[in-house]
Amino acid sequence: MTPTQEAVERGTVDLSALDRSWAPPQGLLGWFRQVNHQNIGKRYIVTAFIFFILGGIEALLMRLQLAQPQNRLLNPDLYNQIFTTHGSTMMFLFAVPVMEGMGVYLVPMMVGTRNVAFPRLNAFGYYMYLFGGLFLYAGVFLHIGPDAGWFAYTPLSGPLYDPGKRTDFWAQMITFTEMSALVVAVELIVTIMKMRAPGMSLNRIPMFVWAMFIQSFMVMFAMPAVMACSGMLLFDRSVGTHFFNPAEGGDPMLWQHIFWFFGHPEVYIIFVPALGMISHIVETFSRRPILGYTALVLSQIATGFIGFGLWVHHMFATGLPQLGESFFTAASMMIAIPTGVQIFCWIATIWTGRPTLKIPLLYIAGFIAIFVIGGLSGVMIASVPLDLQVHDTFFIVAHFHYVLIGGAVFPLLGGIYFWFPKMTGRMMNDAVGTLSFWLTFIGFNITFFPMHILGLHGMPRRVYTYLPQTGWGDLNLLATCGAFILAIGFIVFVLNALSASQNGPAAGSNPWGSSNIEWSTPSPPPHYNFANIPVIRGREPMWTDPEPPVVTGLDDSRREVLVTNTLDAEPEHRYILPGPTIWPFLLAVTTTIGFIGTVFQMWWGVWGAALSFIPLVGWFWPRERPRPDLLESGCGSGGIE
Amino acid sequence: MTAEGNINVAPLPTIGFGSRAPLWWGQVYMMCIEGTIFVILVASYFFVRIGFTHWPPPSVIPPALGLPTFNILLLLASVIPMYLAGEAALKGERGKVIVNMMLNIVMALGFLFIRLIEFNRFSFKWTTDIYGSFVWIIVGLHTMHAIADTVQSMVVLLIVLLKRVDEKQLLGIKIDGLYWYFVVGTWVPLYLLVYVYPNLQK
Amino acid sequence: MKWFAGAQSVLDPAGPQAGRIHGLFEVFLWVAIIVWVLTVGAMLIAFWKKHGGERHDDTTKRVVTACGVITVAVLLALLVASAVTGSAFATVPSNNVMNIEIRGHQWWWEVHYPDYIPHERVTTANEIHIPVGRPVRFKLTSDDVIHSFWAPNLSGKLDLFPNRVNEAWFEADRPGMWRGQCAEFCGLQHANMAFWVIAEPPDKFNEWIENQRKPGVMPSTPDQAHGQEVFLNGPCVVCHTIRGTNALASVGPDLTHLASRHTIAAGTLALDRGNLAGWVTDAQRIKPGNRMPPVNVPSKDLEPLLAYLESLK
Repeated sequence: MTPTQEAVERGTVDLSALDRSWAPPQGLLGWFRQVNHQNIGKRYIVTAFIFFILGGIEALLMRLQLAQPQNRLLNPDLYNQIFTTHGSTMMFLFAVPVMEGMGVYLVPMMVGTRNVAFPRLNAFGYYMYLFGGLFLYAGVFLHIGPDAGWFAYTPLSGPLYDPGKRTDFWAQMITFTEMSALVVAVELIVTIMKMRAPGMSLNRIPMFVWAMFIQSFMVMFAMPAVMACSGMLLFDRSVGTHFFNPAEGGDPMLWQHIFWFFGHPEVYIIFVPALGMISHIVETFSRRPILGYTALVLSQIATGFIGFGLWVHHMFATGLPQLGESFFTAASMMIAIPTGVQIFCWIATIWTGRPTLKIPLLYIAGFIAIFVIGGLSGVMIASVPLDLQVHDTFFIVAHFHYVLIGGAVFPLLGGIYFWFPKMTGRMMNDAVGTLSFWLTFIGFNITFFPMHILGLHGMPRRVYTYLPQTGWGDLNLLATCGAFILAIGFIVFVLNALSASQNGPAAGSNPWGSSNIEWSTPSPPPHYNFANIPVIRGREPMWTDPEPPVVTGLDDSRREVLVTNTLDAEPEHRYILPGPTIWPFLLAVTTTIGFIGTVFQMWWGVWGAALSFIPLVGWFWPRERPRPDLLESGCGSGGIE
Repeated sequence: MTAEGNINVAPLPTIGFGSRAPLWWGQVYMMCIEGTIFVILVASYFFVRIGFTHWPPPSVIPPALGLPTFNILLLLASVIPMYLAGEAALKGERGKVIVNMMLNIVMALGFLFIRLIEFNRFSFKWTTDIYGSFVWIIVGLHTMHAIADTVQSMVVLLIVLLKRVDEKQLLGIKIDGLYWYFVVGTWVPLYLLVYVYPNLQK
Repeated sequence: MKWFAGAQSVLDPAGPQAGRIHGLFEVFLWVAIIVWVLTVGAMLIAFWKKHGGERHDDTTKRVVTACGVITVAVLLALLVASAVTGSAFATVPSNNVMNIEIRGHQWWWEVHYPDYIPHERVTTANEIHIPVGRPVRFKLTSDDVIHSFWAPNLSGKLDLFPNRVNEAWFEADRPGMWRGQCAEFCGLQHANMAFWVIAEPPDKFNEWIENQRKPGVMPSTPDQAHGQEVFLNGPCVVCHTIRGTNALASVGPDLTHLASRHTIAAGTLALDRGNLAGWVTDAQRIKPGNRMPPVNVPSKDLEPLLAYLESLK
């Protein structure tokens, strides 16, 4: 008998009531009313991968153009739009949202609850992300896409040198996607703080949950910076403010400071969730508890903090005082320490475990090989003299692809492979998985390793062509060939996933024999995640406590979850979550109307706000008439505070 | 699965208040986010200011302090009825809730009206120069929050008047108060920056 | 244009700064190689060693801690090496410095050799001559957006901002020709904004700068005279200067000694008659989006114009 069947026998859960109260909304309209985290999480992941493919096509176009000197495939205007869109897509529309999606899907299951703390906000965040991405691509397909780079330095991106609406598409896309990321950050923090299963004290929280917790705080303090500067840029471009206009006292350097204050934490926002995923994969396939749990958590926290103190290393060539720059060199080198400690812990776990090289762990091996190169080239460019030579060259392009693809995409692919059985109930194909890994690994290195050399040989970034006499042609051609191999590797992975989702062999609830509680649910899990919320009595519950006591007394006839306290996860109160509703979608629509309108005419901001009043009221208006009105009868909650 | 060790949560209430409530934390984090935007704007203001010997730029007439000072005192005073409304809500004193929320809304509207006059009285626009750009964006963003929370308070009051207060709405009254404390709290340093600082410099 | 691979390279230093950076790079590179080999090696051993014996987590934790401590130590050493290299050329040397002022434009380099005496001042474009063995201080500013001045064989780069003057310096320790390129994305023709640094022995340099101080060569053949007429009566004078004539605009590069330069279009084309013809008549085909419009020069005027331009040595 499964645990669920036993529970039903014993009467601790009413499955049919749970099925009813957590039933998903039906039909076409139902898609727009969905508030279930599994669903929203999967939407984030699928949408992000679609943008990943678009960004990949842009990359291939760039590589084709650069394969030959003085190539005429793309004119400079088109090339500039493509590299801007490639960077913006990968950073804003793929990397952050896909990690958010993994978080939204996994965190409630990993902490032992049934949904995120704010289900409607979750849905709203997804629609904002989707609309923001569509808005950017509308501009691209109309050939008025942004062309000032994903970092849009002023004055190049300002009204004088970048007339028209191009960069406005970019700046407003940022508003959409940052709002989405902030929404997810807030809801994940609150879910992790307040909705953990009883007994899940701080030292029993799964590593990926820690990672999303830390990453969410980083989002909360970094994203406002880019919202501020993109807003200031929009105002400079549309209503004549002078934030970045030197003629009236503004400063182009201000843009760089604010942007990179966001931009550096941004890459750790992408990287930290991957670090969380790695611990789960390493632990599972080493078949021993992760070694150095405390060190790993503290290292991630340290990474989060130090990550905010590095931003000036993007500005070493701007002519800042040397003493200031030295601080940022030290901090930029220092951040290698917590990352290194984590890698040592993982290798130690494998060393002292009984490893089995399944595909997810293979991707982690790839991560170590690739990311360490990126980290070491990072230590090089932390040094000001070295950076002054290779800054803004293909050496930097090589560096950040090594850390981002090696450090985030490889663990992500491993994580997708790992949690795919949970999400779909089927296993991906191992032979195809091995093939996709090697194509990706080899293709990646052929593409990006030569770029280190190209940078050292003087090739700057963001150039649509180069002279044949530079001698850069051969390595560029090699990189282009590698890019196609890499693309095939990704395509094979996606095809594996698509085919397995239809035809893959059925997976049980815990096909990998992992230790965390999300693996106690059926695959795929029911909409309520757990028939019974488990009580947590250790760090590896599935290994040490497979039949734990459970929480009883939640009212299964409505969407009721348990709220616990932050430190020790002791039960505090029950909490009723909202069911399917259209208001989040409608609010996203009205907000979008306002945001898109302001790109063309500032007053649309006011109309958009006014329009948004309606769905906001609809969202928060009390559902049923309470009996009695709590203020009428004088029976408030009796001072529960 | 053992029956002992099971935790029965049926006796627990279905709502928590203050820092027990998820929504309370949601509001606090929203305040952190918006607060960070203000911090970035103020830091940027000073970053630009360093490049100037004369600040504010010569064309700027520092604003008179009378009306803005009255306005910030009005704003600070409006915290009291908001706080009282929240306390009354927990004790179920409907009449007190209504009176205090109305008082707060009236004071908020008064504040916003005077804010409009303040905008009018600035000797510069956002297009004038960098100083104007900063002052307008900072005061503008703050005004946006003040308007949003005043509207929110009005909706909350409507729900109270319509006798539709359930547990979540009780919490909502307190959360609305929290947002108002944010609006008031952020204005204190910003008032010093926008009104007092330029008068000190000249 | 001749093959110049290696003339725009970090790995072939021609001056003390690039030399020291190259040395620092080698230190970092060796450390990186060793660290990578050790880490990946440990990982491979972790996979393939015999497993299943007794676990000694305490010992393992001590090993991990030791690796952490070694990491800190190595990073500190690299930090010190970096600081030492950086401070070695942080300040411009004060004696025997030559000053050059660079003003970046979308998409060319305006080069001034300042002097107290007005007629000793030199203005040229896209080609910088310096004497070997003498430190040169560059004052960098921009006319429009942010650019970056980078000649990798000589030193690291420094950005050009519209609202400030940045100072860089370097020195060539041997004669030669090295190419630099704008290294901050500056718009449509960022890819084609290059310059040449030509280091010469002091006497040759003095010869060069004396020549640059002279006004533009007067036409010496009827063809060249006709060409000068075409130039002065055409749209050229809206943007260009040829000292000694009425053409005194400074929107585009100074052409007074155009023919003394090795390249045109900011290092994009070698200076020869064919390239010159193509550039003058349709610059947009070569650098689409740049500020020079196509010029319709009737064929009877084109050859004389080119003859005149080629005489401007």
